[in-house]
Amino acid sequence: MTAFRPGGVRYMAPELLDHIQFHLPSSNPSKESDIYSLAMTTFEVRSFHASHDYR
Amino acid sequence: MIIADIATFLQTLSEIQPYGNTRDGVIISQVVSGDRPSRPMGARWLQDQVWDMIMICWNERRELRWDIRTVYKQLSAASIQEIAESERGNRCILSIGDIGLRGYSLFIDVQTTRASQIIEDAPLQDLPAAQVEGNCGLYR
Repeated sequence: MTAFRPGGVRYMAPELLDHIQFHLPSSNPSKESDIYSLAMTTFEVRSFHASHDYR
Repeated sequence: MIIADIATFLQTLSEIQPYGNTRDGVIISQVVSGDRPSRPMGARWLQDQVWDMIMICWNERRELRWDIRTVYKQLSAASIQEIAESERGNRCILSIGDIGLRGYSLFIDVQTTRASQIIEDAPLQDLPAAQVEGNCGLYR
């Protein structure tokens, strides 16, 4: 198992966490995995505001 | 790689992390088996169209996720312009691309995730380098 950067797995696409299961030759990041991470960031930022009733 | 930088800047933004205090090993097995965070309350910040975008971009089949241009259209859409008033002028640039290929740079506000600009399909060496306005940088 690859060692992941602390905190990083929360933002990593499933195919980066286990590339074999997803039939990929490597766990290299891709444009698609970056989109997954961007969506996780969007989720986190907006969940933060939602939970604090920002307005 | 953007992931490490996202994790770093979010520590300054929020005490809330996806999956809470769940250990990494548990998160890995959950995500690989298809689990994703559930939708929180708060319609203003997670409208249906934003939530739909997030879910599509979390698809385990990566070819079904949106591309950066479609994400940009959603994150800059008029329907979320109202949240711009909450912005504090902290922009960051997210550059997406592969080494030696063409890529994209997306400008988003770190407080709201509203996108204000995209540079499309440019050679990576022509894209703005990691640029920080405020206290964060997202890039790879």
